[in-house]
Amino acid sequence: MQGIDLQPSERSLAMTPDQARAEPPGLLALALSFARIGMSSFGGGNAAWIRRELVERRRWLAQDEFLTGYAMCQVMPGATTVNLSIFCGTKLRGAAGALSACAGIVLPPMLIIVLAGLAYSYVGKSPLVQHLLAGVSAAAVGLTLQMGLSSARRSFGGWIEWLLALAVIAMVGWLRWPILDAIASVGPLSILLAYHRAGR
Amino acid sequence: MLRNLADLARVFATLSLISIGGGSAVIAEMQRQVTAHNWVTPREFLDFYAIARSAPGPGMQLVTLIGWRVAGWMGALVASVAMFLPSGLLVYLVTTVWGRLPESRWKQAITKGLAPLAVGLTLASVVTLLRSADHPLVAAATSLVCAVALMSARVSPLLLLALIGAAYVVAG
Repeated sequence: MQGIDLQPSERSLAMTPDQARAEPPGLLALALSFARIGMSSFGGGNAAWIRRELVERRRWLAQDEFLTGYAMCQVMPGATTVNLSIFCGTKLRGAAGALSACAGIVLPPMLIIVLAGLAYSYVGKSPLVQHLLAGVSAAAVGLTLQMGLSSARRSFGGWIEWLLALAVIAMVGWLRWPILDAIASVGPLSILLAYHRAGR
Repeated sequence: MLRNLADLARVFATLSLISIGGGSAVIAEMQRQVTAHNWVTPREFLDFYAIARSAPGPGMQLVTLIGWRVAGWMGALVASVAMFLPSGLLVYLVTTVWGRLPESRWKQAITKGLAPLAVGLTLASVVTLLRSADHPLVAAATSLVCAVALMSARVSPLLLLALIGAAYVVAG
Protein backbone atom coordinates (compact mmCIF):
# COMPACT_ATOMS: atom_id res chain seq x y z
CA MET A 1 0.00 0.00 0.00
CA GLN A 2 2.99 2.30 0.02
CA GLY A 3 2.89 5.00 -2.63
CA ILE A 4 5.62 5.23 -5.21
CA ASP A 5 6.31 8.74 -6.38
CA LEU A 6 7.30 8.85 -9.99
CA GLN A 7 9.43 11.76 -11.01
CA PRO A 8 8.72 13.17 -14.50
CA SER A 9 12.06 11.87 -15.72
CA GLU A 10 11.17 8.40 -14.52
CA ARG A 11 7.81 8.56 -16.22
CA SER A 12 9.49 9.20 -19.54
CA LEU A 13 11.78 6.28 -18.72
CA ALA A 14 8.70 4.08 -18.64
CA MET A 15 7.91 5.10 -22.21
CA THR A 16 11.03 3.41 -23.52
CA PRO A 17 10.46 -0.26 -22.79
CA ASP A 18 13.35 -1.30 -25.02
CA GLN A 19 15.91 0.23 -22.68
CA ALA A 20 18.78 -2.18 -22.22
CA ARG A 21 17.27 -4.95 -20.08
CA ALA A 22 19.87 -6.97 -18.23
CA GLU A 23 20.01 -10.78 -18.28
CA PRO A 24 17.78 -12.42 -15.62
CA PRO A 25 19.86 -12.91 -12.46
CA GLY A 26 20.90 -16.19 -10.87
CA LEU A 27 18.97 -17.42 -7.83
CA LEU A 28 21.70 -16.39 -5.39
CA ALA A 29 22.07 -12.92 -6.91
CA LEU A 30 18.28 -12.53 -6.68
CA ALA A 31 18.22 -13.59 -3.02
CA LEU A 32 21.11 -11.27 -2.17
CA SER A 33 19.45 -8.37 -3.94
CA PHE A 34 16.26 -8.84 -1.94
CA ALA A 35 18.22 -9.36 1.27
CA ARG A 36 19.79 -5.95 0.61
CA ILE A 37 16.34 -4.44 0.11
CA GLY A 38 14.97 -6.12 3.24
CA MET A 39 17.82 -4.96 5.43
CA SER A 40 17.94 -1.39 4.16
CA SER A 41 14.23 -0.56 4.20
CA PHE A 42 12.79 0.82 7.40
CA GLY A 43 9.27 1.81 8.44
CA GLY A 44 7.53 0.85 5.22
CA GLY A 45 8.13 2.26 1.77
CA ASN A 46 9.77 -1.03 0.79
CA ALA A 47 8.11 -1.03 -2.62
CA ALA A 48 10.02 2.11 -3.56
CA TRP A 49 13.25 0.33 -2.58
CA ILE A 50 12.41 -2.68 -4.70
CA ARG A 51 11.71 -0.47 -7.70
CA ARG A 52 14.98 1.39 -7.25
CA GLU A 53 17.00 -1.83 -7.02
CA LEU A 54 15.30 -3.97 -9.70
CA VAL A 55 14.15 -1.42 -12.25
CA GLU A 56 16.70 1.38 -12.00
CA ARG A 57 19.87 -0.19 -10.68
CA ARG A 58 19.83 -3.70 -12.08
CA ARG A 59 17.40 -3.20 -15.00
CA TRP A 60 15.99 -6.68 -14.50
CA LEU A 61 12.39 -5.50 -14.92
CA ALA A 62 10.83 -2.76 -17.03
CA GLN A 63 9.10 0.08 -15.23
CA ASP A 64 5.60 -0.62 -16.59
CA GLU A 65 5.92 -4.34 -15.88
CA PHE A 66 6.86 -3.51 -12.29
CA LEU A 67 4.00 -1.05 -11.80
CA THR A 68 1.41 -3.51 -13.13
CA GLY A 69 2.70 -6.10 -10.68
CA TYR A 70 2.70 -3.56 -7.86
CA ALA A 71 -0.97 -2.74 -8.46
CA MET A 72 -1.79 -6.45 -8.37
CA CYS A 73 0.26 -7.04 -5.21
CA GLN A 74 -1.57 -4.25 -3.37
CA VAL A 75 -5.03 -5.77 -3.77
CA MET A 76 -3.93 -9.36 -3.22
CA PRO A 77 -3.93 -10.75 0.33
CA GLY A 78 -0.53 -10.76 1.99
CA ALA A 79 2.10 -8.19 2.93
CA THR A 80 2.57 -5.98 -0.12
CA THR A 81 6.38 -6.10 -0.10
CA VAL A 82 6.51 -9.87 0.31
CA ASN A 83 3.96 -10.20 -2.49
CA LEU A 84 6.10 -7.94 -4.64
CA SER A 85 9.20 -10.05 -4.00
CA ILE A 86 7.26 -13.12 -5.11
CA PHE A 87 5.95 -11.33 -8.21
CA CYS A 88 9.45 -10.16 -9.23
CA GLY A 89 11.03 -13.55 -8.45
CA THR A 90 8.38 -15.35 -10.50
CA LYS A 91 8.82 -12.99 -13.45
CA LEU A 92 12.61 -13.43 -13.40
CA ARG A 93 13.19 -17.08 -12.51
CA GLY A 94 9.81 -18.83 -12.04
CA ALA A 95 8.92 -20.69 -8.84
CA ALA A 96 12.54 -21.02 -7.68
CA GLY A 97 13.00 -17.30 -8.23
CA ALA A 98 9.89 -16.55 -6.15
CA LEU A 99 11.25 -18.66 -3.32
CA SER A 100 14.72 -17.09 -3.30
CA ALA A 101 13.42 -13.51 -3.57
CA CYS A 102 10.94 -14.11 -0.74
CA ALA A 103 13.56 -15.80 1.45
CA GLY A 104 15.93 -12.92 0.75
CA ILE A 105 13.54 -10.23 1.90
CA VAL A 106 12.10 -12.14 4.89
CA LEU A 107 14.90 -14.15 6.52
CA PRO A 108 17.66 -11.62 7.38
CA PRO A 109 15.24 -9.11 9.00
CA MET A 110 13.67 -12.04 10.85
CA LEU A 111 16.94 -12.59 12.78
CA ILE A 112 17.06 -8.92 13.72
CA ILE A 113 13.45 -8.82 14.87
CA VAL A 114 13.91 -11.82 17.16
CA LEU A 115 16.98 -10.18 18.69
CA ALA A 116 14.86 -7.07 19.23
CA GLY A 117 12.19 -9.24 20.86
CA LEU A 118 14.83 -10.72 23.14
CA ALA A 119 15.95 -7.23 24.17
CA TYR A 120 12.29 -6.31 24.77
CA SER A 121 11.80 -9.24 27.13
CA TYR A 122 14.65 -7.89 29.31
CA VAL A 123 14.12 -4.12 29.27
CA GLY A 124 10.67 -3.76 27.69
CA LYS A 125 8.86 -2.99 30.93
CA SER A 126 11.23 -0.29 32.16
CA PRO A 127 9.58 3.17 32.24
CA LEU A 128 12.11 4.63 29.81
CA VAL A 129 11.53 1.96 27.17
CA GLN A 130 7.75 2.13 27.71
CA HIS A 131 7.79 5.88 26.97
CA LEU A 132 10.03 5.33 23.96
CA LEU A 133 7.76 2.61 22.57
CA ALA A 134 4.63 4.69 23.22
CA GLY A 135 6.12 7.45 21.07
CA VAL A 136 7.44 5.15 18.36
CA SER A 137 4.15 3.26 18.12
CA ALA A 138 2.11 6.46 17.84
CA ALA A 139 4.41 7.59 15.02
CA ALA A 140 4.24 4.14 13.42
CA VAL A 141 0.45 4.32 13.46
CA GLY A 142 0.97 7.63 11.65
CA LEU A 143 2.83 5.74 8.88
CA THR A 144 -0.10 3.38 8.52
CA LEU A 145 -2.55 6.28 8.54
CA GLN A 146 -0.57 8.01 5.80
CA MET A 147 -0.50 4.78 3.80
CA GLY A 148 -4.30 4.47 3.92
CA LEU A 149 -4.93 8.14 3.13
CA SER A 150 -2.46 8.22 0.21
CA SER A 151 -3.96 5.08 -1.21
CA ALA A 152 -7.46 6.59 -0.97
CA ARG A 153 -6.30 9.78 -2.66
CA ARG A 154 -4.74 7.74 -5.48
CA SER A 155 -7.50 5.27 -6.15
CA PHE A 156 -10.83 6.72 -5.03
CA GLY A 157 -13.07 8.19 -7.71
CA GLY A 158 -15.62 9.88 -5.45
CA TRP A 159 -17.56 9.98 -2.20
CA ILE A 160 -19.12 6.52 -2.61
CA GLU A 161 -15.71 4.92 -2.16
CA TRP A 162 -15.24 6.93 1.03
CA LEU A 163 -18.66 5.80 2.25
CA LEU A 164 -17.72 2.15 1.68
CA ALA A 165 -14.36 2.66 3.41
CA LEU A 166 -16.05 4.38 6.36
CA ALA A 167 -18.47 1.46 6.66
CA VAL A 168 -15.50 -0.93 6.89
CA ILE A 169 -13.80 1.30 9.48
CA ALA A 170 -16.98 1.33 11.60
CA MET A 171 -17.48 -2.45 11.34
CA VAL A 172 -13.91 -3.47 12.11
CA GLY A 173 -12.54 -0.51 14.10
CA TRP A 174 -15.51 0.27 16.34
CA LEU A 175 -17.88 -2.69 16.30
CA ARG A 176 -14.95 -5.14 16.23
CA TRP A 177 -16.59 -7.36 13.66
CA PRO A 178 -14.45 -10.20 12.32
CA ILE A 179 -12.76 -8.90 9.20
CA LEU A 180 -14.34 -11.62 7.02
CA ASP A 181 -17.84 -10.32 7.81
CA ALA A 182 -16.77 -6.85 6.70
CA ILE A 183 -15.20 -8.19 3.50
CA ALA A 184 -18.28 -10.31 2.73
CA SER A 185 -20.71 -7.43 3.26
CA VAL A 186 -18.82 -4.58 1.57
CA GLY A 187 -16.65 -6.42 -1.00
CA PRO A 188 -19.32 -7.62 -3.46
CA LEU A 189 -21.10 -4.25 -3.31
CA SER A 190 -17.87 -2.41 -3.99
CA ILE A 191 -16.86 -4.65 -6.89
CA LEU A 192 -20.33 -4.44 -8.47
CA LEU A 193 -20.19 -0.67 -8.18
CA ALA A 194 -16.78 -0.60 -9.87
CA TYR A 195 -18.11 -2.94 -12.57
CA HIS A 196 -21.06 -0.63 -13.16
CA ARG A 197 -18.74 2.37 -13.40
CA ALA A 198 -16.32 0.62 -15.76
CA GLY A 199 -19.18 0.18 -18.20
CA ARG A 200 -19.80 3.90 -18.55
CA MET B 1 3.76 -26.62 22.90
CA LEU B 2 2.51 -28.52 19.84
CA ARG B 3 -0.95 -27.23 20.59
CA ASN B 4 0.42 -23.67 20.58
CA LEU B 5 2.24 -24.22 17.28
CA ALA B 6 -0.91 -25.60 15.67
CA ASP B 7 -2.89 -22.60 16.95
CA LEU B 8 -0.26 -20.19 15.62
CA ALA B 9 -0.34 -21.87 12.21
CA ARG B 10 -4.13 -21.82 12.05
CA VAL B 11 -4.55 -18.20 13.17
CA PHE B 12 -1.86 -16.74 10.92
CA ALA B 13 -2.66 -18.84 7.85
CA THR B 14 -6.23 -17.54 8.05
CA LEU B 15 -5.04 -13.96 8.50
CA SER B 16 -2.71 -14.44 5.54
CA LEU B 17 -5.58 -15.23 3.19
CA ILE B 18 -7.86 -12.41 4.33
CA SER B 19 -5.26 -9.63 4.45
CA ILE B 20 -6.64 -7.93 1.35
CA GLY B 21 -4.73 -4.70 0.84
CA GLY B 22 -1.57 -5.73 2.67
CA GLY B 23 -0.42 -6.45 6.18
CA SER B 24 -1.74 -3.25 7.71
CA ALA B 25 -5.27 -4.20 6.67
CA VAL B 26 -5.28 -7.20 8.96
CA ILE B 27 -3.75 -5.61 12.09
CA ALA B 28 -7.14 -5.02 13.74
CA GLU B 29 -8.20 -8.64 13.28
CA MET B 30 -4.77 -9.89 14.36
CA GLN B 31 -4.93 -7.87 17.57
CA ARG B 32 -8.40 -9.27 18.27
CA GLN B 33 -7.27 -12.86 17.80
CA VAL B 34 -3.88 -12.84 19.52
CA THR B 35 -5.26 -11.07 22.59
CA ALA B 36 -8.19 -13.51 22.68
CA HIS B 37 -5.65 -16.35 22.78
CA ASN B 38 -3.84 -14.50 25.61
CA TRP B 39 -0.63 -14.59 23.60
CA VAL B 40 0.04 -10.90 24.20
CA THR B 41 -1.77 -8.03 25.93
CA PRO B 42 -3.10 -5.16 23.78
CA ARG B 43 -0.30 -2.92 25.06
CA GLU B 44 2.36 -5.53 24.23
CA PHE B 45 0.82 -5.88 20.79
CA LEU B 46 1.25 -2.13 20.29
CA ASP B 47 4.88 -2.37 21.52
CA PHE B 48 5.59 -5.23 19.09
CA TYR B 49 4.00 -3.22 16.31
CA ALA B 50 6.33 -0.31 17.12
CA ILE B 51 9.37 -2.61 17.15
CA ALA B 52 8.41 -4.24 13.84
CA ARG B 53 7.86 -0.90 12.15
CA SER B 54 11.20 0.51 13.28
CA ALA B 55 13.23 -2.63 12.47
CA PRO B 56 14.39 -3.35 8.90
CA GLY B 57 12.19 -5.48 6.66
CA PRO B 58 8.48 -5.92 6.02
CA GLY B 59 6.19 -4.56 8.77
CA MET B 60 4.66 -8.02 9.00
CA GLN B 61 7.70 -9.16 11.00
CA LEU B 62 5.23 -8.39 13.76
CA VAL B 63 3.97 -11.93 13.19
CA THR B 64 7.48 -13.37 13.70
CA LEU B 65 7.71 -11.50 16.99
CA ILE B 66 4.37 -12.81 18.25
CA GLY B 67 5.27 -16.37 17.24
CA TRP B 68 8.61 -16.07 19.02
CA ARG B 69 6.88 -14.79 22.16
CA VAL B 70 4.46 -17.72 22.17
CA ALA B 71 6.81 -20.60 21.35
CA GLY B 72 10.40 -19.44 20.86
CA TRP B 73 12.29 -19.97 17.59
CA MET B 74 9.88 -22.67 16.40
CA GLY B 75 6.99 -20.33 17.07
CA ALA B 76 8.69 -17.54 15.11
CA LEU B 77 9.23 -19.88 12.18
CA VAL B 78 5.74 -21.43 12.21
CA ALA B 79 3.98 -18.06 12.53
CA SER B 80 6.06 -16.51 9.72
CA VAL B 81 5.58 -19.41 7.32
CA ALA B 82 1.84 -19.48 8.11
CA MET B 83 1.60 -15.74 7.42
CA PHE B 84 3.67 -15.65 4.22
CA LEU B 85 3.05 -19.01 2.52
CA PRO B 86 -0.72 -19.06 1.73
CA SER B 87 -0.83 -15.53 0.32
CA GLY B 88 2.54 -16.11 -1.34
CA LEU B 89 1.24 -19.15 -3.21
CA LEU B 90 -1.79 -17.13 -4.29
CA VAL B 91 0.42 -14.33 -5.63
CA TYR B 92 2.55 -16.88 -7.47
CA LEU B 93 -0.53 -18.38 -9.14
CA VAL B 94 -2.01 -15.02 -9.99
CA THR B 95 1.32 -13.75 -11.37
CA THR B 96 1.45 -16.65 -13.77
CA VAL B 97 -2.24 -16.30 -14.75
CA TRP B 98 -3.45 -12.71 -14.18
CA GLY B 99 -0.93 -11.09 -16.50
CA ARG B 100 -2.07 -13.30 -19.35
CA LEU B 101 -5.75 -12.46 -18.94
CA PRO B 102 -6.90 -9.83 -21.40
CA GLU B 103 -7.93 -6.45 -19.98
CA SER B 104 -11.59 -6.95 -19.14
CA ARG B 105 -14.33 -5.05 -17.37
CA TRP B 106 -14.36 -7.57 -14.52
CA LYS B 107 -10.60 -7.45 -14.07
CA GLN B 108 -10.76 -3.68 -13.79
CA ALA B 109 -13.78 -3.89 -11.46
CA ILE B 110 -12.00 -6.25 -9.08
CA THR B 111 -8.89 -4.05 -8.88
CA LYS B 112 -10.91 -0.87 -8.38
CA GLY B 113 -13.56 -2.47 -6.19
CA LEU B 114 -11.11 -3.84 -3.66
CA ALA B 115 -9.55 -0.41 -3.07
CA PRO B 116 -12.22 0.94 -0.65
CA LEU B 117 -12.02 -2.34 1.25
CA ALA B 118 -8.22 -2.13 1.52
CA VAL B 119 -8.35 1.52 2.62
CA GLY B 120 -11.17 0.82 5.12
CA LEU B 121 -9.32 -2.13 6.65
CA THR B 122 -6.06 -0.17 6.92
CA LEU B 123 -7.78 2.75 8.64
CA ALA B 124 -9.67 0.35 10.90
CA SER B 125 -6.25 -0.95 11.98
CA VAL B 126 -5.29 2.63 12.83
CA VAL B 127 -8.40 2.95 15.02
CA THR B 128 -7.74 -0.38 16.75
CA LEU B 129 -4.10 0.42 17.48
CA LEU B 130 -4.92 3.88 18.83
CA ARG B 131 -7.59 2.44 21.12
CA SER B 132 -5.01 0.22 22.82
CA ALA B 133 -2.56 3.08 23.53
CA ASP B 134 -2.21 4.23 27.15
CA HIS B 135 -3.36 7.72 26.14
CA PRO B 136 -5.45 7.26 22.99
CA LEU B 137 -6.04 10.96 22.34
CA VAL B 138 -2.36 11.89 22.63
CA ALA B 139 -1.45 8.95 20.39
CA ALA B 140 -4.12 9.95 17.84
CA ALA B 141 -2.84 13.53 17.70
CA THR B 142 0.75 12.29 17.31
CA SER B 143 -0.08 9.91 14.49
CA LEU B 144 -2.12 12.56 12.70
CA VAL B 145 0.81 14.99 12.84
CA CYS B 146 3.13 12.26 11.50
CA ALA B 147 0.76 11.36 8.67
CA VAL B 148 0.42 15.00 7.63
CA ALA B 149 4.21 15.46 7.81
CA LEU B 150 4.78 12.39 5.64
CA MET B 151 2.19 13.46 3.08
CA SER B 152 3.35 17.05 2.73
CA ALA B 153 7.14 16.75 2.89
CA ARG B 154 9.86 14.25 2.09
CA VAL B 155 10.53 13.12 5.66
CA SER B 156 12.41 9.91 6.36
CA PRO B 157 9.99 7.57 8.20
CA LEU B 158 12.80 6.21 10.36
CA LEU B 159 13.87 9.71 11.41
CA LEU B 160 10.27 10.51 12.29
CA LEU B 161 9.95 7.38 14.46
CA ALA B 162 13.21 8.24 16.26
CA LEU B 163 12.26 11.90 16.84
CA ILE B 164 8.80 11.12 18.21
CA GLY B 165 10.21 8.32 20.37
CA ALA B 166 12.81 10.71 21.82
CA ALA B 167 10.16 13.39 22.37
CA TYR B 168 7.99 10.96 24.36
CA VAL B 169 10.99 9.94 26.51
CA VAL B 170 11.83 13.58 27.25
CA ALA B 171 8.20 14.47 27.98
CA GLY B 172 8.02 11.36 30.21
